[in-house]
Amino acid sequence: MTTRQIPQTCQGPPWMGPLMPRSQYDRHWLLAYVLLLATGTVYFGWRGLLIVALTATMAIGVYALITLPTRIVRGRWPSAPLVYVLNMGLLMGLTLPVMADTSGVALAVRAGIAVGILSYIVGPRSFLRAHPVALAHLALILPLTVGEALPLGLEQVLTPSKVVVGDVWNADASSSGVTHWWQMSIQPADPDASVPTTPPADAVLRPNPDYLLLTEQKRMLANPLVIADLLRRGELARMTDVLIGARPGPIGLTSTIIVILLGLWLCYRRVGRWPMTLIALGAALAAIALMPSAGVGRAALSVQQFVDVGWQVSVAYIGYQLLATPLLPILLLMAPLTMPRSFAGRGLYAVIIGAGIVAARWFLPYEGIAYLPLVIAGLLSPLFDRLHRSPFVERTVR
Amino acid sequence: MGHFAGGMEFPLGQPLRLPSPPQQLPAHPITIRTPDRPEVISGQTVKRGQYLIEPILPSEACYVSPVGGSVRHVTPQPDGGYELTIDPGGEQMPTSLEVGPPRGRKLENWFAALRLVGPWSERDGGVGLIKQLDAARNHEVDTLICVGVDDLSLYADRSSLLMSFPDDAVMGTLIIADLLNVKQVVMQAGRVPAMLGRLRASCRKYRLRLSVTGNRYPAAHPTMAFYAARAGSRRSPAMPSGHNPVERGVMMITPWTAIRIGRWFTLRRFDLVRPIFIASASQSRRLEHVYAMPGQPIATMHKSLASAEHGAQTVLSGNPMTGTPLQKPRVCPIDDLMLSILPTMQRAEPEPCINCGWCMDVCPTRLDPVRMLNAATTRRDDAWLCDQLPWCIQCGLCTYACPSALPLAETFRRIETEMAGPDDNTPLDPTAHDETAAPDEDAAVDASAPREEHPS
Repeated sequence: MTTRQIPQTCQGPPWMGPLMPRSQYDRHWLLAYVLLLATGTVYFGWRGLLIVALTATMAIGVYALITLPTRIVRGRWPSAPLVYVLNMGLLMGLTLPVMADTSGVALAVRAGIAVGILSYIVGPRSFLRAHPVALAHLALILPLTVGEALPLGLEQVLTPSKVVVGDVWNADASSSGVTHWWQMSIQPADPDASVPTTPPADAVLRPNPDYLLLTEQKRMLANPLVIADLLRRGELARMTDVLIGARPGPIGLTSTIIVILLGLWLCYRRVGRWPMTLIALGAALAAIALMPSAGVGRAALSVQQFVDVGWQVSVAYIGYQLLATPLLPILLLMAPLTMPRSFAGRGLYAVIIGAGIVAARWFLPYEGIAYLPLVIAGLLSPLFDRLHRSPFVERTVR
Repeated sequence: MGHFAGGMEFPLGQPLRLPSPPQQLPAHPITIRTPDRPEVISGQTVKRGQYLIEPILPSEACYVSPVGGSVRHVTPQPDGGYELTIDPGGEQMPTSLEVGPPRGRKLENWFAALRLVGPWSERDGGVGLIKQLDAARNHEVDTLICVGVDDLSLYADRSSLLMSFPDDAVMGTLIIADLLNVKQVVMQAGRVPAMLGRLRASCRKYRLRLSVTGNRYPAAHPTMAFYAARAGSRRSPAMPSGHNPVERGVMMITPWTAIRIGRWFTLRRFDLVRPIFIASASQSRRLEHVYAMPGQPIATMHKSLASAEHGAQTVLSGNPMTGTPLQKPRVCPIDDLMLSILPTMQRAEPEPCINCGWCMDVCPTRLDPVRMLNAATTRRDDAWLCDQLPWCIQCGLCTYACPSALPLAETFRRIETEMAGPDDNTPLDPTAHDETAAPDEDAAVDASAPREEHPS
């Protein structure tokens, strides 16, 4: 950390500081979420922007209404600043998918209300240190996906020529299964043609890799040809699409590269913690290897299946598990909010989240189940804090 | 030296080249605060070097009058001490006592002589030079460290002293090492390039081991310096704040104490004047310096202090991280060599903790400040809090790093005072039942040591 000029905000020892005021701390998250929103607008256009804005607005409005009696009766402002609630509202919107009809608006409104209420009850300031957005997902989104045969959101993204301004609902049905990279197969209309042609669509159909992994992960390990077949038929998004974000999914969290870069930036600013992320990734890898898998005529662990299917398929499988699922967004952009203060506690917290996400998706393959380990780990954070022991104090033997 | 956990790197300030202390300064009324009732009364004429207080306990230093003149008033203070003001008799006041050092290398003689030319700063080892020497009469000391690392690297006060008086600092350190018959003597300095060249030459000339460490705050604190000195040894490297390091085999002095003793040995007169470094918020990392007598009004020391005295600025005794406001009348302090001038600030409204963990990350002794704050507020876990508080070295980093502006350092200082009791200045002792203490820590204190008379 570097020091800065003495601000006019402090009295009492130390007479320098604070190093980073609370407002600046919250702005880090705000900047990250705004950049994610910009990314989401690229691939989902104004509909995605509308969903996120609506969710954030509802969250702030509900929070303001809830805290109004507190302000009137006690004469003081609520504990959570509005920037924090705005951040939660934005994050909630960024984790929602674009729906195929107006039910998406209703979902955004409900999600905003839920986050606004939960931001008052739970969070990093509360004894119940659960992540409000994760809890809202478990309460609202998960029940919608349990037992459903199709992904919750729309499986379409905008074409390069229609980013931001295009309508993601306007997709070309024949663009399904197109294998080249994010390009439409329909040529622009010939102005000299006598036969009127249909205007080019704004969006293309793309499969949701997260949902596919949820439903097909066991089959991928059982048969070495499944992944290659899915890729060839265009049913599994290519890794380049996953990395840049040209695939359906949560509005702001589809681009893995952007998520990783923002996560690293937050770690650089010490808002996030890179050791926690690494431990969680290690736990996730270990969990991926240890999940029970059905081989040919026998039950086995996944790591045994890696040998059977070959290293190419194994690497591809692990790559998709790490990069195409909500694991990285949760680790980098959500987990730091409710993590414990102690070093040992953060390690346990990271293990629960990393291994928990893999295990939850393996045994309960429903969209949104990945937020459950985050909520559980957050609720255990206060207990993990009490694990901390100062090596200086420990040298004092009673 | 070993590396400790936590702490924070600050940018390095530039050291100053100080001139030699002047032999005389313009005379000003001197205000001294004594812990005990002084042996002079209002209206009495005092000589320069006359005792103002002469404590019964051998571990307490005497207070000598730095000037000759008449005592204007002796006023009892709410904290049990006394404040007396001496009006000087002339227009100039000499800055040193014509008192030669004791002959020989006997610790008892030097201890008595040093005790009689007090007061001494309590920054040496956290308890002061005299307390450490008193403990050294009954405990074996195996390491002597001159802690030349800057208290706060933004303001290179100790580096300036080492750069300006390297020979005297080395000489003074070796004198004390010789008195104590210490096996290991170390001059510890920070990585300040402008100072290291001169100091290296002096250390090489006198064959004193120089240890260059990073300027990671708060490396200069006695607890941290002790930890670094003991890291890697079989003995426990942990010493709580406020404890005498000599009882654990290590003695620590500051560069100005070493310089004073070195100059006493070579010039045959004892400096009463002290260099004061002035840190101003308006000139980040730049220091100004002045020589002043302890108890001299700050308004007479430097123009920046004069304007601060008449303006609405806050003047701290110490660096901006750990300093305490000077009480009125604002005079040159005894303990600190730095005065910090800060603009008047508004208190930031504390907000609820967001569990970011920064306070725990920066704490040098790896405490849990949030849990301590909750325990101090609710007072439900006093036993646990009693274990933690002695290890809080009041560096202030937790409060500095806290985005929610929680008053952590202030609360710990207040609660420690409350727990210790109003009349008990003994720090909380977490090692009362320490089974891992080294054998010599259990040695009985020799209370039969005779009191030495003034060498003159």
